[in-house]
Order: sequence, then structure tokens, then C-alpha cells
Amino acid sequence: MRRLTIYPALLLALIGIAPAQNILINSGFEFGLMCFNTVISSNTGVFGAGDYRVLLSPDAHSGNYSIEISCDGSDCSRGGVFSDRIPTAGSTNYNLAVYTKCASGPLGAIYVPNTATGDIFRTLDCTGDWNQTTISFQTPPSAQDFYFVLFSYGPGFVRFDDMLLTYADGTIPPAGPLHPGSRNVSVSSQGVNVDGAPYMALGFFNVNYGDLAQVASTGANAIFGLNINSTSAFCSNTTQTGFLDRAYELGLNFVPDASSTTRLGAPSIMAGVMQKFGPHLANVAWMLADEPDQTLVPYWYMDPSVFLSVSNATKAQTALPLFADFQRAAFSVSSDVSPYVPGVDFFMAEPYGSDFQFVNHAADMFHSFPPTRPIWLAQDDIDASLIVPKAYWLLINGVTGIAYFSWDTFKAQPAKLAAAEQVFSEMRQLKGVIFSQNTDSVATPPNGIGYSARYSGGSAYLFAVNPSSQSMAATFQMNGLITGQQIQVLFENRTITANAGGFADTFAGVARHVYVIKAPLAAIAGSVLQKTGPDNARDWQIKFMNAGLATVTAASITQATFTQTGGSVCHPSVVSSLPVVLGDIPAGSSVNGDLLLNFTGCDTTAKFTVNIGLSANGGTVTNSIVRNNERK
Amino acid sequence: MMRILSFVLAACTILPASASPVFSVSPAPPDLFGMPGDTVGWGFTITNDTNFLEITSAQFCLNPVSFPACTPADIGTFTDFISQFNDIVLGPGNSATQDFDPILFKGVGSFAIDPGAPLQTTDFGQLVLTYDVYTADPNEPDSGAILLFSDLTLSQNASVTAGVPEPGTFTLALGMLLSCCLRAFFRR
Repeated sequence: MRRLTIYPALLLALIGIAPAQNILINSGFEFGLMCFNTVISSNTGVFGAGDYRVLLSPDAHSGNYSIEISCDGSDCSRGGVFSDRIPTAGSTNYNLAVYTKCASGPLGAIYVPNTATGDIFRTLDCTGDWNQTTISFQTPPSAQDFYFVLFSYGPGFVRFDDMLLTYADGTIPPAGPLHPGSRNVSVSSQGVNVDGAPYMALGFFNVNYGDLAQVASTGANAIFGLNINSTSAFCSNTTQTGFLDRAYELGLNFVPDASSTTRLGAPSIMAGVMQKFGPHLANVAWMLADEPDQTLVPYWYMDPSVFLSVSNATKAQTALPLFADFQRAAFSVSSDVSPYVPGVDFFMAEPYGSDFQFVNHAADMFHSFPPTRPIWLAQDDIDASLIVPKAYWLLINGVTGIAYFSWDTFKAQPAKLAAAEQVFSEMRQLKGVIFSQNTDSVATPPNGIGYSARYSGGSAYLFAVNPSSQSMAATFQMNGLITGQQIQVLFENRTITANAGGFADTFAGVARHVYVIKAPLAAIAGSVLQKTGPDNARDWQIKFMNAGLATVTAASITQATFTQTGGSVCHPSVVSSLPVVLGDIPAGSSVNGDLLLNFTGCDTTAKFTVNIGLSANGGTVTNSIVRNNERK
Repeated sequence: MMRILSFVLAACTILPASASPVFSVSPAPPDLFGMPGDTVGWGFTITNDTNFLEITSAQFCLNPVSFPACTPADIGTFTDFISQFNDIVLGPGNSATQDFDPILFKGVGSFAIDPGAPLQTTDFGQLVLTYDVYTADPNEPDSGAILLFSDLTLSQNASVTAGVPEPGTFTLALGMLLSCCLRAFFRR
């Protein structure tokens, strides 16, 4: 009897699951620098300067590419490629093997910081040929993630390829994400839509694996990958639930960061990149580049033509909306940003600090680029008292996404974290309002107060912000308001009583107020002011009132019917040519119109139920004057 | 010519006093309670001073009210009885009183509380009546009634609550009911 042996790998292959051979998903740089970022140092100490460049090299140990760190100039301090953080359990043993190629002379190294035995720094054998360097290490007991760095020092090049990261005990990590797939994401002029509904992105940059649950508990709905010592995409197969899987299960959406890959300027690899890293149910957008317009940091700057070529190649492979974080939008001229604009579906900028006007600068610039696209903004950890008002300042400038930079700084400052949580809570409550009809014209704020209005669910919502530290007594002109109208001040547990045509409130320094006014946006009403003239041309003067908060257009008297209820029988008829068009009527106003009627044969005993039809806004707003016991 | 002149003189004489009739809801109070699905309503007393008034409409409008705009009730539907099913014409010094009667369609009108109205929610508003003013009874064939004013208004604060009165109000109402019963008993 022959013994039947089925190896585990074969078993997995038979049931259609390919085992992962490697914890690293982009182990051979075939997907550019996805899951890796770069660090360039200069002998001058200037951030982003230095002559190092990181390139895709066709000289590969296997596959099509290796990654090359080279320095052809004189400012060759240090160039490095470091991995995203890889989720781990504590006290776990790993083996990392990397093929490297460098000519005799340059110095290369592999660096694994914070292991159980301290930092590991292993120099490379530079022989002019491919050599494999292997490092074994153990994570500390409290570790939740780790990373490693590939370094090159001095002139010349070092190429890296075919990295193999495995558990030391030989176990095979599960392959691929738990939640692959694509969300229904689209972009309109107003915002990004996710799963068929408008999406207000609220979250943090740079969240570590161990903090995902805490971030979810803040009310955030998004995390923004940033491959600066964090996680930029679905990058590793581990025995832990993967970063994106964990985020998705916690209700957090994810925005991958492909900056380092985009900077390689290799459109040809983007098909593979998007096929590998795009399909995850956590992903709702794709950041092509962080600050491609940043001329002050030479290594970050990208020529617009390179950016556009990568964007086009990416767009061809994904339905995820693409965006970039344009650093200069907050303070510079639009020509710095405009060359990149065709490459993005929506915008991001980072108007940081306590001066709210930088937000206006960025938003105004983005709004000037046709067609209108959504705007998400990154925000920093300004004074805690300013965080909530500034979030509303973003809102009134048309921003529909807020990404706080970064998680660690907010986590370390409870007051600022509490303010961010308040922003998330209020914005989530207001989400339906934020994406509803813009009705800025219903009110006029006082000078210096930022303002925007929406109409939703039978109420007008006014978002108002005082950006100045000077307290202000503010009067809002709102012609549609009538005396006694109650105005709820949301999130402050108070109400204001309006006067005819407006209301007053105060702002104690930098502050926001959200006013809710339950009143129709468009409504009309009428009455019969007087009746004059002979029976055959009786003039009923009709008062046509705009009873809503906004101007009504083409106000018209559309009909008049008479049902006799008593007295001498007669048959009134309408003389006027209907409709009697009275024109546009501003909020809080009324106009009088003449309705000519023929009451020939009717004496004063003839009484009727009268129905006079009123219409405006192309027939979308109607009402009628109904009177009983009405006579000629 | 004399007839026209007399009309003008009559109009000049009566114009200043033409808009001061008194409207009250009866029996008080105007604040009604009813369970979801119930129909409640208001009676009225209207007293006129000069000329002849004729009621032409009734509405329940949520506060604040700016006639002719009227925000209808949130928790129910108002039906006009006073002008739709009646013709109230009052001469100088006359008054009319009707208790609410949903069978005979008497009173100002009815308020049908929505079956789905949340309990203890209240619509605060006003009963708004419109009326025309004539020099004489317009229903009299030979009165020569001339229209002086159209669509003047009378209003009265009113509210409807879906639910039962708060304990304090309920005790007061019970006390009044008891007092009425005792009076009726002793009158016998």
C-alpha cells in the first residue's frame, strides 16, 4: 500500500488558495516603491537637498526591476528606502534576506531598529555582483509593528531586490487581504460619493496599527496613509489581521499614499500597482503624491509632465478618485498648481496654522480650476480652542474632507484630540445638511463673519464663524424672517428670537455658531386686499406674499374658481388673461396684482366659495386663497 | 348722486370703527389635548361693534404667524367649520357663540390629531379668521350692503397637544369640571 502524502502547499493550491511565500507584498520592487518611502540626507543639513536619487533599475536580480539608490553628485550623505510598518506580535522571530548589488567601494547597509536586542545595522558585501544578506531578529515583547531601512552611503549606487521576510519558525502567513474588492466611489462637483452617498472624510494621517481601534472610537471615518514611517497601502501578509482589513472592520475607510511610487515617474508599472493595491474594500481614494508642487524640497518636487503621465496610467486602471496634496495652494500663485490639475479628481492642500485666510487662499484657488472639484484639506494641531471653529471655516469654504496631521500629535494632546472628536461628531450629525442645497442667499452676514447656508428637512442651517480673536456683536440680515421666529443654535443648547428681517447674536472671539431656522425655503400666500369697480370688470386686488426664506420667481395668479353657496344664482367669470404674472418677489416682500372678474347678474346675496390659485418658481411652489361666503 | 354721496358719508363715518370685533375661543382654554387619532376642536364667541362682519375663512397656523402666510400644523389637520359649514354674519353690537360640535360642524373648526403623532408633542399656533365688512347684512336682498373691507383678520392663540395634560393642568381642568357639575347639581 502506497503512502499518500499531501504537502500543505499542495493542499492549499488544490483548494485554490495560493500560500504567501513572503510577508512583504512588494518584495521585488515590481510595484515601484509601494509600501516603501525614501529618506535623503544632505551634507548641508537642508531638508530634502542632497544628490541622492532613488530609481527603478532594469538591472534586477529577478523580475523586471530592482530599486537603486545612487548619488552622482558631490552631496552624498545618505540615501535610504524604508519599509512601511509591518504589524507583528511581540517577541516574534523573523528572517529578512535581501539581494543587493553594488560596486566595490560604496557602502550599503540594512538597518532594523528596535529589535529585542537593540538596533541591527548590517553592512553589505559590495562585489559588483548580486549578493544575499540575511538578518535574523526578534521583536521586543511589546512590539505591535516594526520596519527596516535599506541604506546607501557615499557616491555610486546600491541596488536592492528580492527581499524575503518570513517568520523564523517557518510558518506561512495567510495570503492577501480578508476584504478584497472595490467600493462604489464617484466624484461630483460637490463631493466624493462613497457607496452611493455623499462622503465627508474625517480622520487622521499616519495611524499606527495598534491605534486603529482608538482612532475609530474618535468618530473618524477615514485614515490617510502616509508612508512616512507608517502604512501607505495593504503591504504585508501577517498572522495578524492586516492593517487595511483591521481598519475596514472598524468602520474606517483608507486612503493609500503612492507618493514615493509616483515620484519614480514610471507609468508602465502603474497597471500592476493598481491591480495589486487598489482592490480593497477599505480604499475610497488614491493619493498620487504628497506635495508634488513643492519646489522648496527638491526631492519631493515632481515635474508636472511626469505627474500627469503617472496619473493617466493610474486612472486607466482604477475607479478610485485620484488626488494630490498641493502644498503651494495655501500661499502661492495658481500657476504653481494649475499644471498638475488635469491629473486629479479632487484637491487637497494643507493650510495649516491659526490664520484662517490660508484656507480661503487654497479654496479660492481650487475653485478657480474648472470643472469644480471637491476639496479635502489637511489640518494641523493648532490651539485646541481654534480646531472646531476652523473646521467650520473649512466647511463654509466648500471643503468636504478634513484630515488631521498627524495622529500621533493629536493623540499626545488630549485637548486637541477632544476638539477633533467634537469636529467629527458635529460634522457627522450635519453630514446630510452639508451636502444639501446651498442657500447662501437667504441671509447676509455682517462684515468679518464667514458664512454659508444649507437647506435640509424643512429648515435652513446657517454656519457662521468669527475668525478673529476680537469678540463681535453680529446682526444677520435675513429678509424672510418674521418677528418671533425661533432660531435654534445647534450644539449650544440655546435659542434666539428673530426680529422681522434678521437676528442678532454675539461671537466671543474665534467661534462658530450653527443656526437652525425651521421655515419654508420657498412658500407663497395671498389675500384679497380690496374689491373695486363695476360688476362687469370687478377688480379684486390680490396681495401675493413671499412667505419663504428665498426669492420666488415668476409669481403668478393661475386660476380663480367660484362655487356658489347661496343667494341669487349668477355665474361669475374671469376677465383677466391667466396667468396674471407678477414677477419675482424677494423674501419678506409682497406684491399686489389685479384679478379682473365679471359679476354681471350677481347681487350682494350671491355668495361663493372662492379658490384663487397662486404659483411661483415655474410651478414648483403653489398655494391658493380659499374663502367661503365671499361676494362680488 | 345723492345716493353715492350718502354711501361715501356712511363709509367715512363707519371706517374708523370697523375693525374692532372681539374673538374668543370657548369654552376656554384654547389649549387642547387629545390622544393620537382623536379629533378635538374649538368653540367660539365673536362680538361685533359696528357694521356687519362676515367670516370667510379659518385656519390653524403655527407660530409665529404673518398673515396671509400660514404654516400648517405638524401633528394634525385643521378643518374650517366656521366659514365652510356656517355663515356667521354679525351686525353692530351682535355676538355669536358656538360650542365645538364635530357632528353638526359647529365651532371654529376641528383638529384631527395624526394617529402617528408623537406623544406629548404640542403645536403652538393661532386660530386665524378672515372676515369681510359690509355696511349692511349682505344676505338681505334689499339691504344695499356695500363692501367696506376685505380679508381682515381675527386671531387667538391656541395649541394642541398629542397626549394628556401635565398633572398641574389636568388637576385644574378636573377642578373646573367638578365645579361645573356641582353647580349644575345645586341648580336642580
